[in-house]
Amino acid sequence: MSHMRCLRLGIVALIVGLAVFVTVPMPASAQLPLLGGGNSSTGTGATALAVTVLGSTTSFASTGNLANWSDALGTALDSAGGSLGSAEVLAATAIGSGDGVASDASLGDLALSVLGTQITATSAYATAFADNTGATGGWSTIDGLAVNGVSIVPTGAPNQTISLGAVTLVLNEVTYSASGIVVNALHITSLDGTVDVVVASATAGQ
Amino acid sequence: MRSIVAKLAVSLLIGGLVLVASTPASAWEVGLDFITGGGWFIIQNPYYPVLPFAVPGGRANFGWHGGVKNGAYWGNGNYIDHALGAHVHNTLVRDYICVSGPCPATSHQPQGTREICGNATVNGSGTWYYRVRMNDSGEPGAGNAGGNDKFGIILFDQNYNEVYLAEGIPINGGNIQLHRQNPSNSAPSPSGFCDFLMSHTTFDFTFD
Repeated sequence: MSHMRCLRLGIVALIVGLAVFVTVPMPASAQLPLLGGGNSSTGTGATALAVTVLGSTTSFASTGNLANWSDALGTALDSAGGSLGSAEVLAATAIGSGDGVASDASLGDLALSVLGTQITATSAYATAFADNTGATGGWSTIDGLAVNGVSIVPTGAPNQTISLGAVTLVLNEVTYSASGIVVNALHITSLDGTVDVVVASATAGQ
Repeated sequence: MRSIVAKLAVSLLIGGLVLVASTPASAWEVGLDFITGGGWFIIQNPYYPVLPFAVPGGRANFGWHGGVKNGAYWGNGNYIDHALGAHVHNTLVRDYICVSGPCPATSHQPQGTREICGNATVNGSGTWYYRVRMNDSGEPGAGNAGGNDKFGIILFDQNYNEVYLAEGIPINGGNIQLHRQNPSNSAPSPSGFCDFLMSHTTFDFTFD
């Protein structure tokens, strides 16, 4: 085979190889390396329902914290039940967007009995977000909320507090700290300290 | 020299054919971002008066999310039609496509519509196929403050017959959030599953 012929075949092989290289997908990790955050947790996550009774906490549909600002976590649960009641269609996500993070949590058909107080809601949703400038924000909604069958109308304002003697409800509970923000659609506590229920909780931070 | 040019042309042709073969037949672009949300709506079902599963006027709750992450389809979800007593649970996300809005979403607080397609169980059993369409039209997602987010779901049986449709246009409560692309949003191989299910759809299901 002549030198020129080898050269020609080499060029052909090179072009075909380049075409295949460009068009055939490679493993994802090679396509787009993660850019942000390394392996440090961001403190961003969401939980659809967390029930604490006598110091023991059970969480339902909880994402845990994002590994970094390019991570994404999600979970969904058909239903949750326990000694205090039940909820359905629980979901929670935490999403990084490179220079920011966001989380949300939701559930439906909440039915709780806390020290004899019946608390029901059609739906609850909370979201929180933060970015790399330190800015944070969040909000929540709760629909169809009723206590012992009496409808409660949320004002939409943060930390709307309703005291019912043995039980206290905080709607759209928003807490800021140096590390970020926590938004709870509903936070129920008992006066005697034995019960603490957080409904639809979203956290975003560093 | 003429021979080299000829072989180059043949090579480019081969390369082009490889490119065509590897390009998805899908008409819909894979979404390189995420969409999440949860809430409720009163079922509106004007397009499907004949199916026994349709119960307009009933309440539905949902919590669903989808996207692509590290070269794979990503997501999960739950949906319940209270009037019907049907609880749908995602078991496998098979496709995620852009329907409208920037694709991928790259701006802060993007708005748009995405569709998630995959397998599901109903009341904990069977293999069903679903299309879930979610629209983020800004904040808040719903309610008297002017929210206008939307959610829709179609179920197919194992023979890909449509058996259920419900839409919240808009949803009555909760929120849907389209998230800006992040570096984990690398593309999986296009599956075309949403397109396949769409080819079995005989009604209008758009909310761009």
